[in-house]
Amino acid sequence: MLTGVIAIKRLFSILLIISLCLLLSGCWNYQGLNKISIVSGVAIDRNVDNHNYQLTIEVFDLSGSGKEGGTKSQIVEAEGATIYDAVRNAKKRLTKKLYFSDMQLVVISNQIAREEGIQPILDWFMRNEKPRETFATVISQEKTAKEILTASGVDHKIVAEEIEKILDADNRTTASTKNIDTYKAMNILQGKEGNALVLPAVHCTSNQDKKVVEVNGCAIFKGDRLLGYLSPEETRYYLFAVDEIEGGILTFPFNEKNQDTQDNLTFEIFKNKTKRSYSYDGNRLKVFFDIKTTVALGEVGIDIDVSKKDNIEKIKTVAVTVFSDRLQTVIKKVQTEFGCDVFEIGTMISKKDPALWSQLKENWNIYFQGIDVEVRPEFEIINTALTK
Amino acid sequence: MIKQGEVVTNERGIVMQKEMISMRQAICMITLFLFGNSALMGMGSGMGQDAWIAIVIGAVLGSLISLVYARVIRLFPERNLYDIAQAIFGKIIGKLIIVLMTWYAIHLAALVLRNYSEFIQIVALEETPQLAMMIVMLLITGYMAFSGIEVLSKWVVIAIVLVFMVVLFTVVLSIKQVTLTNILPVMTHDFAAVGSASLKLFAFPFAETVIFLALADSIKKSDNPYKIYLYGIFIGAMILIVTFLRNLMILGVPTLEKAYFPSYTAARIINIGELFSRIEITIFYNLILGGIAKISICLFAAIKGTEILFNIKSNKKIVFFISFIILLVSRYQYNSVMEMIKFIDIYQVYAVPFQIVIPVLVWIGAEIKTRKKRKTT
Repeated sequence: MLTGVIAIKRLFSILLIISLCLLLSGCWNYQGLNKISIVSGVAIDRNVDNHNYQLTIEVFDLSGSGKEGGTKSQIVEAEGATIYDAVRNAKKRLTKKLYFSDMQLVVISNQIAREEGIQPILDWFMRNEKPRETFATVISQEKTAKEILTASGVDHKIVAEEIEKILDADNRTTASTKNIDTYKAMNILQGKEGNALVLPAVHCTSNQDKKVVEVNGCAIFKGDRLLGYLSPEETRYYLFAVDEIEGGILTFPFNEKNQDTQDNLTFEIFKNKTKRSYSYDGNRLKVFFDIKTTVALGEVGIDIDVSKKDNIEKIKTVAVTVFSDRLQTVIKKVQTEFGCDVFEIGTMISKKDPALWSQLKENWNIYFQGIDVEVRPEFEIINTALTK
Repeated sequence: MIKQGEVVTNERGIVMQKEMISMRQAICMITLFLFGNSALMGMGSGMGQDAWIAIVIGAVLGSLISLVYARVIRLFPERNLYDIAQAIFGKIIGKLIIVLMTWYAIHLAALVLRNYSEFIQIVALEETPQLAMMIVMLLITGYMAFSGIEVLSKWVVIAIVLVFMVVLFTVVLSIKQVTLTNILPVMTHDFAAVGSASLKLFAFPFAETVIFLALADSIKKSDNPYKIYLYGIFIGAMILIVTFLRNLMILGVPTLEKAYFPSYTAARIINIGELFSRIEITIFYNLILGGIAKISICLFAAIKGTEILFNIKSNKKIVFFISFIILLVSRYQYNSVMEMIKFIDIYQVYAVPFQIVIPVLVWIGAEIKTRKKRKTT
């Protein structure tokens, strides 16, 4: 009798456990893979006629088999008064719901960035729980942002992924653009340290008559408004100034007879450390950039024996002067043309000397234009590759 | 009054012993209780990079008031706050204190529960009604209350190992994302602002440990209550500071201040290669473990209060009843997450009678009572 009761009890509790598994195992609104379209990137333009946002959304195309040539992408266009509105309006022409958790890229047209600012656009992407804060935001140098996403990548069929991968490896390989996660960009926009935002710039170029995307330097902002661009070459020197170089190439002219030759020496950067410091004597601020770079001599376009010590010394001297010159020029250009602190000098001062910063921060952008800069580069050439 | 080890028979004639917890378990309980929803809500308090100073001051203030709590336990060992209050102030005032403290335990459980249901709704299950999540969570804490405080204390020891491991894990994995200089400049906010933030942190979470007075009858006479409280608050504060610094160094001040749930946001950003990304789920269960511990402890306190108030012997019958009140309070106390955040400001005033006035009154009464006793004997 008693065993019978226990058996019934056991059976009952097993039933309860099973029913709990069924009831408690998922959320109310289960979404299967067949009900979502995974978004890889979004391009944002302004429709001039009705002033709506125009979204070009790149989604993974999972319909075909993945065997031939990897995953393809599809383009969905949508329009709306706000970003969220536009995202929802896309559903009008889709059976599946857009899913943003894997989004890697937002492309913003330079017209919006210049005229309206980027903060209102990024708000939804940061506020909504689906997009990850680490996606990249880039500025399209083409007429519209759509052109970027509708072009093609050389390696990947999915343009957003191509751009994201290029950005990710950039400061280790070419050092030609700025790689910054969007939450860090928002930190700069909302911070009180006078920092100016720098975002990567992207354009289209032709590769074997095919329109492909390419990163092309960086875009400089004042507040959240686009001011202008730095070329890839200038961006490299900018990256030296903010200590974000992890690799890349430096070229210099070198000729003992004729000083005005073309660049013919190539350094391959292995390691770089930029130390920034400043001195303030009561009314003038001077900023020092101590740049210590470990390089290899990767290409010598002139007939000299680079195994000789004095030749290496000569090369170093030339490199130091040319490098300081070029970095100074970039800093000067930013100071005069843009007048906003992209070099994080304000951040440096506010962290080291909050009292001084509270004095300076009032008119920081004006003050920044008149700062003296001293560049002190130092190169260590560790090898000359395979040949003497 | 049931003494330790005393054999009692309940109404069904089954022999049961009074449940006791060890000192280590008590310390772990306080630590996890402090971790609870504070790690979830982020302890930002508008102080930016200086918030860790506010946490330190809050913890010091919390330790000071905990000396009062510990003293009460020392004077009346193996008895809980409700018993002590009745013994000191007599039936009527004693009952009043019981009602107030029971209400506080219920309300605290409801607050924590709401924090979690809002959190889960915002980050994961948007369309699931919060009521459903609350019921599920209360089923677990109710089961915990059913099983008794010994089970809870053993569970806490396991849970705290997991919590520590996950915090350590996320700190190590975030190395690539951290900006150490985010902590600079130190003390840009003035002392008054940091002071008021630390008062907020004193009320939530450090002085909330007053709840443990209601469970004090399970603490052995031989264990030092001062040690339990101070170790618990020290370890709890350390882990909260580590969590805060991790969030600060990953997110930076503006994002940290903007996020409702900074720990979660920070975990979303952690990414080492492609391998260790999307680890927010670990943080998720970490936070939920803390929440379950905190709600369970409050539930125990509320049940004990109700038992003594209405002279009920077995707590099992009233678990449902109390859980139901918690559910109702939790469901109807706010209309939105904004109100929930705003309430922290009100809370620090609201909590004063429960966290300071009543314990201090009980303490003074206890001192007088024990002195008198000593004189007469």
